[in-house]
Amino acid sequence: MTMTMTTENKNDLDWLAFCYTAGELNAVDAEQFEARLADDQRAREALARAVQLTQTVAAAETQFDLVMPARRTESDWKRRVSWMAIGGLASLLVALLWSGLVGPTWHSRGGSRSQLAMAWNQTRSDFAQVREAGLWSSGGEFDDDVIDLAADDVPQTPSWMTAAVFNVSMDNSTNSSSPPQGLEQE
Amino acid sequence: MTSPSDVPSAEQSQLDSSVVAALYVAHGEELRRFLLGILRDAQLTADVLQATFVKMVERGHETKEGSRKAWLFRVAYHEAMAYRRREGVGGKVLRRVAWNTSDAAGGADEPLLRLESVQSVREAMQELPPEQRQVVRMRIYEEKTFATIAKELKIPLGTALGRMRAALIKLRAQLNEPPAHDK
Repeated sequence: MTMTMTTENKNDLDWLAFCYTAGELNAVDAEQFEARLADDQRAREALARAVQLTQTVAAAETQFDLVMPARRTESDWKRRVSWMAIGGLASLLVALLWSGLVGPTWHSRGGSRSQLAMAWNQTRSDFAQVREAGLWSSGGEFDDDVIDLAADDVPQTPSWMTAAVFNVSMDNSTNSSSPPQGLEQE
Repeated sequence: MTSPSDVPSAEQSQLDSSVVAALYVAHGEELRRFLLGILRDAQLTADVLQATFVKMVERGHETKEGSRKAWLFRVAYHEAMAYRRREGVGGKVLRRVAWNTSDAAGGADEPLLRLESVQSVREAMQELPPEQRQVVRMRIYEEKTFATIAKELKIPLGTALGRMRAALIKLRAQLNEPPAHDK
């Protein structure tokens, strides 16, 4: 209760001080308030608060409109440039990816692996054709050094090549899900 | 007979300048607002404020440390009233405070208004009910009397006063608070 009374009294005093400051008191009330200022420190401080509040509100309606938009515009400008830069970089990256000039490392590595696998496969079929055509002479001096690719002990295609060729197959022919001929082992 | 050592020197009869400077930092701004409320003129306020602190330098040693703020306000009040009597200006002529902040600052190096306070009050203004905000703007910004406001808004005078008072309580509570985005 005491706290409430104190708050109410302070608000009353602040209101009286504001009315005095605003020139809303009649002559008698104004003189009484001025006389009170001679001895009452609370009334003096209330008058100082009333002036502060009134000037601050007036400034909030005028000066602040002049100051803050400039600050806001500056920050907006920086933010806008930042977003434009980010957007430009993103667009450039997408364009480069789309054009194929650059790409993720896994993509190029997969490409070279598939090329190796295709070369391996081509060599293997060439050897088979040569053998079938009877162009390969056995019993020569180099027989021991020649690998018989048609034999059962032919080296198995490495798993990474199979995987790479599967990828090529999936890329080149979406209709065919079977692996290329001759590479079904493993 | 008084010996020369018993007579206080000029330095001893004055308050230390660092003490006066500290008092100015602590109470100068509030004292300036108080004087502006009485004198309604920034230049007069600056003159009286200076005279008040000159008196503090000259006679401050007679005061007790805990009562110096009240002493400053009392001296400032009497100086202001004396000035008004001398100049023949009264409350009827000095009807309102110069709300213009550049006038209010009076060329002093200490700003009356701090940007953060203005921002806090501005934010508080936005949160006021529209009818209260309207009365505040009309009274303080457009400098209309409550009678005029009541007439223009077609509301009783008591309603206009009530809206203004309620708004001031809210704005005052916000005045010394930091801006919302700093909390």
